[in-house]
Amino acid sequence: MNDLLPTGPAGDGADAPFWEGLRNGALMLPRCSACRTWREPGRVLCSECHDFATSWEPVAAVGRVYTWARSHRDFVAELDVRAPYLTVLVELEDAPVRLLGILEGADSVAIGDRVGGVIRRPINAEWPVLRWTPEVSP
Amino acid sequence: MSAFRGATAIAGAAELHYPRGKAPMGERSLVLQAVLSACSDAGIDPRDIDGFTSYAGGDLSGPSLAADLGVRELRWSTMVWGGGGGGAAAAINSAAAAVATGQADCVVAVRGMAQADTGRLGYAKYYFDNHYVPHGVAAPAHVCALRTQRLLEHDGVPASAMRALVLAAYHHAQQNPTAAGNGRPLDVEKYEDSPLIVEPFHLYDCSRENDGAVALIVVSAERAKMLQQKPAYILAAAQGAPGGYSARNENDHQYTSAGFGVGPSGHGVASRLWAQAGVAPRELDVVQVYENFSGPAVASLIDHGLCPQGPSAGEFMTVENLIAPHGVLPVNTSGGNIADAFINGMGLAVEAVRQIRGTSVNQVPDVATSLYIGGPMAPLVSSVLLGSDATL
Repeated sequence: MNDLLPTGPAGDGADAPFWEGLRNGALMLPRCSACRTWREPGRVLCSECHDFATSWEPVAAVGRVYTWARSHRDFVAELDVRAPYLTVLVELEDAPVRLLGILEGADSVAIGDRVGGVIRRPINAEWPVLRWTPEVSP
Repeated sequence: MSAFRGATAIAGAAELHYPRGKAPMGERSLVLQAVLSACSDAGIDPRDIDGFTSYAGGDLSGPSLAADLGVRELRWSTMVWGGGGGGAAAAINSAAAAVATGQADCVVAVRGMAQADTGRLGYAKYYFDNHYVPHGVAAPAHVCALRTQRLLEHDGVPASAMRALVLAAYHHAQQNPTAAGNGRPLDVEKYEDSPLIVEPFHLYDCSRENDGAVALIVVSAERAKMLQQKPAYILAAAQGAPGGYSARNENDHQYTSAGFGVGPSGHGVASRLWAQAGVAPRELDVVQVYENFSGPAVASLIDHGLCPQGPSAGEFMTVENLIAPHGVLPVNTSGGNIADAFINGMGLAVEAVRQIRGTSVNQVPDVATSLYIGGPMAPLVSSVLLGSDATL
């Protein structure tokens, strides 16, 4: 765990507001300024209307588990979490976007479970990352 | 049906493999050895090769191989873009497209890998960016596990379908003296007791890693008829992915598909393949399906219309149905990536050729059509349908 966990914006900076948002304590996602279609961080063009203009908007870090996987081996030496660990893919409630993250505080999970996001800064990471915890359905 | 159908054939094929890290030579030498063996198999002079195709990147280029072989002229050099093992059949497709259109006359599709040159494939995390690695998602096993878990839990495909594919592969490996699983039979208990690697995958659901190389020589059908092997005619080949399927950081549409299904265009890799060949899935004699992991291979069979969707997949995917010589659809008859060897999945293409020639160690009787499906759940996927002369 001496090495740095890879975090932060891609070389082209297309996802920089996502990472800066986490630093400021918010989940920010890109949305087409013209047709208002949400998309995942990292893409510069709206694939619906082909407009480059992008607005970054805050989204509640709440959603449902779309799928999950449990790693039983330490594939990532730099990861601050040891195997076995659960990774969930979460479909957000307020935007049609799915985000990955490690699930904290649960030994098991099922598709459809409601989870909430927490922003964590691993000790060996330059940027914070989004992680998830179980959340009781409203 | 198209002009492409039956215009070309695989006339020479060779593969060599060693345990991972144990090859006595580097990747370049392995590939050259495979090319020379495939030429010898076909009965052609290596200097007659005028084109090279490959996939999944790497440093070996057409021009550099051409220099080593001393070819008379280089006319085609194509790397399939994107998809890792998903581009395996696409490399054959590209070779066939070049020959069918007269761009080149004798194109070899190659792939080699040696750990001394490329490291452990299962830990190839350079492929994954900062939207993956901090979440512990850093290997092909992870993304395939995420998709497979939803295939099981949401779509209702039973885990027994994955297990049957693996058990059939091990069954076949017992007849294949060069298979890693030869002499190591697998049963339900041993499979279920094996450690979990990335849930839902057990150890035995995962492909092997090997050093080795594969070469497949594609020439025109007319020329293939004059060469020494029984031609494996290329009836159809297709590559691609449905719109919205790829490269969207797990936001892909058709998330549990292997990528061969029908997309917004109304077509997909599998439907184009069958239409091009004029063959229906139920008519297929034998299939070699790339299993990076067992679950994605089941999804490939579903995408190709060879296995029913959802819970019914379990009724079709039984060991009895999947084994040669008399199963309903014999699968991975050499043992495949799981029980034979893994050379980025291209060894399965050689086995697809053997089934047409009648030389497999688990030969299916009277094979007219033999399908090779390339890597599943990749950003680009591909498959190629081979036929005997009876299909022309």
